[in-house]
Amino acid sequence: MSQTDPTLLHLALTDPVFLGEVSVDEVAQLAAAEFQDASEVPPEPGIEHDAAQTAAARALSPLPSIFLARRPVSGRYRGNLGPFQLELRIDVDRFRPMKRISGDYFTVSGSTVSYVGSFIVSSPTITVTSATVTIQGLGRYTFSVGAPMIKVTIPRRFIIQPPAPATLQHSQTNGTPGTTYVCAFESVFFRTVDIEEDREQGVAAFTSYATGSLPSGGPARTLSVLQSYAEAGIEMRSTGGSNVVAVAPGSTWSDSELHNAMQAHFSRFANVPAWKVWLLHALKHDLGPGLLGIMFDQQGLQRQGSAVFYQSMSGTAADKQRNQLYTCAHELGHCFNLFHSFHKSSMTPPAPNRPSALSWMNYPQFFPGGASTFWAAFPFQFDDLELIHLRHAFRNNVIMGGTKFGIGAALEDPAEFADRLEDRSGLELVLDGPSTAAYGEPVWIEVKLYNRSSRPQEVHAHLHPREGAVRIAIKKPSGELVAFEPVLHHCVSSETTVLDETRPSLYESVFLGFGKEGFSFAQPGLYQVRALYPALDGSRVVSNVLDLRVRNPLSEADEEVAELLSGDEQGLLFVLRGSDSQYLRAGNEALDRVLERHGDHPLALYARYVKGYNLAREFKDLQPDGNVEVRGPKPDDAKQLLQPVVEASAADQGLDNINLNKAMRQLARAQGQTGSVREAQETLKRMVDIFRKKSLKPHVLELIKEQAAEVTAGIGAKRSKKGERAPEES
Amino acid sequence: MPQLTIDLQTGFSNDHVILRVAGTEVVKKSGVTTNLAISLADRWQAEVETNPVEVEVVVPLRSLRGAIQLDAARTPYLGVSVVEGRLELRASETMFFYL
Repeated sequence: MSQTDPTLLHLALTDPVFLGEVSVDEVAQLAAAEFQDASEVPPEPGIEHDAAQTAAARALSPLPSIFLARRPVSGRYRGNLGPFQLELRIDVDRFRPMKRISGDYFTVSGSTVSYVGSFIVSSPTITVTSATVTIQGLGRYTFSVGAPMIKVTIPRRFIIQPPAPATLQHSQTNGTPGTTYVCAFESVFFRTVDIEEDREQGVAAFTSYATGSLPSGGPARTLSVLQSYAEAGIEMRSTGGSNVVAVAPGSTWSDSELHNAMQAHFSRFANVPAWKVWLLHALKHDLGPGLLGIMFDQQGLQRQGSAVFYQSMSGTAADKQRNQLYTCAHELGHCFNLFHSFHKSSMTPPAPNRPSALSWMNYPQFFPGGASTFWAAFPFQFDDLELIHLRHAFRNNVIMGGTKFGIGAALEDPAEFADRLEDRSGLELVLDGPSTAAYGEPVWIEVKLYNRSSRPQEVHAHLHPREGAVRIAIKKPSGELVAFEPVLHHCVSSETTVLDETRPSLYESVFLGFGKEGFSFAQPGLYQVRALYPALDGSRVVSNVLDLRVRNPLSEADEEVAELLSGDEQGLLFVLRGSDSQYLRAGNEALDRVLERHGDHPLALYARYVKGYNLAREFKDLQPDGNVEVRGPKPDDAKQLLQPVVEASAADQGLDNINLNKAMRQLARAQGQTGSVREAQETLKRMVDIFRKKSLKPHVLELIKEQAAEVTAGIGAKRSKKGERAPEES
Repeated sequence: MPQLTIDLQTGFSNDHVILRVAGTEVVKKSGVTTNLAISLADRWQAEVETNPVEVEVVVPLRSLRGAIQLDAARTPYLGVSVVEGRLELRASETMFFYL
């Protein structure tokens, strides 16, 4: 099995299996033909032919006859360079090509090998000539690299020739060459996993199922568990060991007993991340006949073992055999860190559920139309996004014993994920924010929800994650995926609003720099941010992926300012836009030091913003004796701090639009408090002018005008009713 | 008397859950959490004396409430999930399977 090309593997099966296999020529020609069909529409992203072939395809000529087939190039390659070793995965032809390349780097020292990190190129340009296949694009890495561009060149060989090596050339974004790896072809499979299958005494373990035995959606063929994974490009290599586990008659398994059995019987068990998995064929679980299988290993280093239970599906009847195959493939899918199709939203970070997925990872009974509808259409395979995960996920997110179950199972391919999402909600969620930030710079992003449909839509009124509706996930340079948890949570609000022609969108500014887990962007490198909005009709609207590169500090001043802005108390001060709390004294002192020592530094603007914003409002401090001490607004100090913030931000040198809006209104309030009503009115008029020039949507500009009028009215009210508070800032 | 099986399935996360069958509180449980590997959080089984019978599910801290009138002889299985902030109740003639 391990030496078998999936293509050749299918030679032993029934013919229709070949219908799904494509050559890289066909991939490229199909893209070119689509270009012709669409006239003005560019070809499928990332795939190009050389000029002659593209011209041929444009003429829509039939595919050229292939007298001697060329060898597919997809598969796993390996090469060494100095202390480094690269495992390279090429996925552009053979069975269900996902048009991606990915790889893992290792260091080799003596006889030890250590994992360094991974990369993926999600939307490569693929150029096919008669002599070579060239694949190039920008890699996403789990670690910071100097030369992120990747170009892979593979000479084309006839099927009778041995596979050619793949040459991977790194380069910087300006074209400066980096390292070059020459990688020898290793396997047609993208991953190889050792599987040990043990069985409970008396249980007849599943061997294979003829998928044509009952109606199904795919080509008829005979599938074992190993062949099912081979079709996904994953080699499951049986260890050959098959223990028979004796149990007391009538006994059932608990998860704890299963884990214990795994440690006792899994001969390859080492409790470290490894491409090794254990599958126990057992009879009964404590949960009864309704439990067909479970990936029980959910403590410590997880996903190393699973079990299937035959109490409800033993026997040789076709439906029983089909259930056995499905359950085995399904439970092993969990070991690769795949969630249920209808439960993807529970992953970290979350992804939209796909209850209608024709996948090993679904529940037939939950499929729209029910189990019979599912089986009639099910082609016995993973869906595309799961296939991408299996083949190209960053190593720790897929290897057994890597990240915890459900962590990191979704963002390997965020852009592609968004592209393929079927979304008829009529809503669009957009993240907008800086593409780069200085080390230590506070980061706000804008969350925008648009109604793109022609009908009015009721939506949640608030988009800030603290309100509980929108959730945000951040992928760190290390590849770690974390859910952003706001420091403060408001009571879950059921308040809704309607987006229609007059008000087609909602906006919210979110300070993303600091959450419950501390600073979100604590290290230089590339971060990726994505949000999820659960619509009221049950749709889950996924945003674009926002790339944010945190730059390295360039000077001692950069480092010191970043240090001063980066404490937990400072983080909370940014969340709160300032505070007098005695518990945040150290944070305020750090911000003061920024202004004293580095007042000219670009990041000093943020210290001015939160301090100035806070000083423009009163602060009530509950004393230990129960009395409330009120510090009144300090408008003169606030003006002095906010004015330069507004000037810099108006010139696009500081705050984002929403914070600039807040800063200008707060400045106007401070000006009003000092009696400078005309000055305040000018600030507000200027605010409207600034945003008018930014070509905002009419309803947004109207909102800003209303905000300006509200502040103006508040200043008037304050003047006419001395001692009464101005309206609360919003 | 027909036996009724109520499965708390997806969407539960450290929740306090109350089940009432024919107006009687039969389950009041805290810490109900879905096992994401099988999409099942908890199960309640008992024979019911009246048929049809009303089943009410309440998750008070999330202000969720759902009720369904069941013919326990015909559809003796009820799956309860929290989906998009709402309770979803699904009656079934056959046992739910988990994997």
